[in-house]
Amino acid sequence: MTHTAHTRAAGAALVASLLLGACVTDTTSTTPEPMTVDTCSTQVIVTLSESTAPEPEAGLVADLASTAQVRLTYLRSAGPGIHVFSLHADDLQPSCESALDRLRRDPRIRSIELDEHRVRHG
Amino acid sequence: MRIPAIVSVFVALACASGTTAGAEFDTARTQPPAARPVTQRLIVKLRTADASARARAQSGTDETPVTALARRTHLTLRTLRSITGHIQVVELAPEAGGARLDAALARLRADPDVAYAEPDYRRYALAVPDDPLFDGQWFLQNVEASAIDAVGAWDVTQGSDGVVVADIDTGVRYEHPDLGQATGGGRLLPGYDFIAEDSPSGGFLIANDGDGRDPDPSDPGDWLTTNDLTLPIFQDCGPESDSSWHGTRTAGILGARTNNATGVAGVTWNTYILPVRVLGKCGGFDSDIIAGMLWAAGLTVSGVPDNPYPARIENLSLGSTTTCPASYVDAVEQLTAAGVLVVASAGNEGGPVGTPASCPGVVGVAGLRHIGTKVGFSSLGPEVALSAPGGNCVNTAPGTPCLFSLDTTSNSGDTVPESSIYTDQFNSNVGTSFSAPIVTGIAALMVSANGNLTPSLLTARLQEGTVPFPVSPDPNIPACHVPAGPGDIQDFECNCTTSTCGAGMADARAAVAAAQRPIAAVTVVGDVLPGQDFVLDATGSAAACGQAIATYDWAVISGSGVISPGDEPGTENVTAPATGSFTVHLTVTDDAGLQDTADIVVTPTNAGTDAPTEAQGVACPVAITIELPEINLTGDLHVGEDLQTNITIALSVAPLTPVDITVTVGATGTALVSESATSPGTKTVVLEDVADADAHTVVLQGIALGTTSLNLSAPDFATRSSTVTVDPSGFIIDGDAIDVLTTAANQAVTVDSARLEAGTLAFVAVQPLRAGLTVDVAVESSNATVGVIANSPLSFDGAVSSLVAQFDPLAAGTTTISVDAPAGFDLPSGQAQITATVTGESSGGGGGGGAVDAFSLLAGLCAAVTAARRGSRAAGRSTRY
Repeated sequence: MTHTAHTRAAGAALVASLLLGACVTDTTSTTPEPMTVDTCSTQVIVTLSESTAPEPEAGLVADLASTAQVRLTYLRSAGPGIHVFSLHADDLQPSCESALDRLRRDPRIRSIELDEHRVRHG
Repeated sequence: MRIPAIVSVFVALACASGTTAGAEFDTARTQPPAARPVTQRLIVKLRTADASARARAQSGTDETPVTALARRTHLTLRTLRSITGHIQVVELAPEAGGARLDAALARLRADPDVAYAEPDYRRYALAVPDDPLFDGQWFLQNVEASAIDAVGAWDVTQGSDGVVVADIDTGVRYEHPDLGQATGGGRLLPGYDFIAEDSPSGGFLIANDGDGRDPDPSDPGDWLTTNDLTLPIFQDCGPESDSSWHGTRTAGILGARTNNATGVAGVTWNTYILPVRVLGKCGGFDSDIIAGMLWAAGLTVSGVPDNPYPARIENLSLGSTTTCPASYVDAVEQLTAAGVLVVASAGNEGGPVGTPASCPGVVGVAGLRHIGTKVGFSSLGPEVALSAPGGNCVNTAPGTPCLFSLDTTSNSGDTVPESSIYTDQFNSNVGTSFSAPIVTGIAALMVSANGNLTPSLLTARLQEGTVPFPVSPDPNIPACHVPAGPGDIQDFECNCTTSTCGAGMADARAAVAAAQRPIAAVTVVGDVLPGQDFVLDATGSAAACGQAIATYDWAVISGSGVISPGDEPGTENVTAPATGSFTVHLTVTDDAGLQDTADIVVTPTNAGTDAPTEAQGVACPVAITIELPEINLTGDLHVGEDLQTNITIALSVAPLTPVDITVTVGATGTALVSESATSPGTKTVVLEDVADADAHTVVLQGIALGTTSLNLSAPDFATRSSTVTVDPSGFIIDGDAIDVLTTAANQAVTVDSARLEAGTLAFVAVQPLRAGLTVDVAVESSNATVGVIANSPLSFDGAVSSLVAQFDPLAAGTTTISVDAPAGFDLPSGQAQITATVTGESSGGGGGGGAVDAFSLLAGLCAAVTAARRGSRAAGRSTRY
């Protein structure tokens, strides 16, 4: 990819990200500044250290995301204090390992893990 | 491969009809059925003829009494054996069976030498079920080393309908005759489908039912086509496969309808099964599985209605080979705190135990061959709590029967559901997926026998009730070893050890026996200080269902300690040592002689024990009742009106047969259910499908002010009630004060039917009366010399909500125009009357001929409006509503 093409792609992605960010403003989605191009995307299960609320507090999620330089979008509840998010980050690892590590270092997060796939045993 | 399975259903159904050999299982068992003489064997007692050889020799004839009897009765009889000289067991010729048996018996009984003749019924042990495929369910019996002897447990308990087990799986087929909906006598409760939309696409390919989380846990099928496998979401899901009906199969093991002369037996007969769908095409995700686990226990999952039937035990026949994630640890901790035991299958890779079976607090179950060795596919390791049959075929050649399949309920559909069937040796059922529900079913039997068992006690007594692993006589079978890592696969038969396959082989009889023991509980009362007295209190101990604690025995079993009986039974005074320690041993004995013990280690400053502080709860689980859905009553009902569209009744799962829900009101003088010409106050809503919720609405009529109840009832359901309040309606004059000349023509005074608007406490909304109701509203003038109402009364009905009264001015002066409503209706002060001022022609000025001065009229109107509003507000403040 040429530099120009890369720049155009990055610009388009930036616009798309801005539009996406605008669309999810009413949810607990957060977009750290400055906007970057996502290179990893996954779904994660998060338990917060001091919250068993049915849904996470939007301000807290925004701050967590900003601190870890990721974008977290709340998807749904998995139970008291257990939340499902989509995670996007400008990381090199497709598995978002670095982003997960950054989030795990935040003491407000009790645990964060990939939403793993399971199969029946028969 | 499907044909034998289908055949098995036909066989099962035929057996259920009592017309085949299998029907002999219908004879007296646990619950003696109407005895059907399906045998051709008879017991005949002869009055005089001794059938013994010695008697024949003495009589000098070769004809036996039985052959003589056959000759006299023209029956073909064959002597099988003699019980005594006079009592013979004989067999009728085959053609004499069936419908002719009664006639044969009648002929025998008519013979003067026959004292009695009876069918020689086949009898069984007390709790052997009559399900025709039970004989093939080897794992429930005690004929093989690893079989769990459920029959022995069933003599004690067949499960309680106060216990719910969750089947967290692919969903179920409610229509299977050996499962069925709980409301129709079946075992399956309304559950929930937790499979959310696909990520990141947002579609529903995994769910395969067209939507995300929803109240219907029916299994639509989880087949995978070659085309499916080209999609990114199904990457690594190959190869293509037919629908598994996995949740239906695990449900059948858990608790198929039993002793119903149909199909198979379940480990527990009476326990309800809560289907929670978390696996779709190619499995599912932790986020949905965890949500389903927590919801099943009765915990709140945002966005999903709470589960009205919380489970005591959850079965998860699923997983994958990862270490236990923190989210599962958190979820299991919450479940344990809620008193819920989680049972999970170890996995089918022959490697280390997978998640969630490996998670702390989870009862991981490995699979055994029929002889008690580890079945090749079963995963293993120290995380396994105990083992149970996993199914093994012995035969490996294609087309040969799988000798030790775990027969259960299933469906014949390769893709979408078709016919209900059972697995069998040619459509076999193996995997640790079915080891786990065997243990879950045993745990359900245990809770039925002793509802006080906590998850940790259940686990301990499950293990207490196991049978030691045998060692294969084949010297080539190695001992199992703890997997060194994910790559250390033992996908072959091996001799189990307690570090690889858990405490032993599951045994239902022994586990239930362990559950029946009481639970010793100890509380330390007072501070433990050197040389000081304190009290050990064991009165929180509890006995199993139907038992009571009889005695508490205390003893010092190690060290040197001072104890003495306390003031109350079940308490003991203890003196803490100045130095060192000693152990107090508590033995709790119930009135059946069963015991539990607890040790309390006493030091100068502490008294520690592993025993619970309190064990008393509900020893005998209370039967649950299936509730109708909540009545969704929104909107307001008023006197004289209908509330038409605000009550909907919905079932979360399509019923197998239509559900007739009767809708009634508690006090018909207050409200009525309409459309009730034949039965006032009653309406029947027939629900045949989930979608019927939109098609059936109940219409209520407001009769009079007051409060009553709206009740839903249906066979097999608990009645559901909701409060209905009938609010006021009335009539108001829609207009302001009138100022007219005496020469004016009739003046219009608009009268509206109205209702008390919730929140504003004012009659503001114009509403028609309900159709068919006619109400005459008198409109009056207080001073008939000033003016009169020409067309009173006004007749309101469902067609009009506003009528015009004609005020006829007669002379100068002031009068009050008011409405007078019939009983039951209200007349809000300030809104039900206006003032009419009539002036002579001379007061008009200009305009010629009696026209009201426009500016004066406008000013008057404004003043009147203001006054009316004030009056309205005043009425609101003073109203009783």
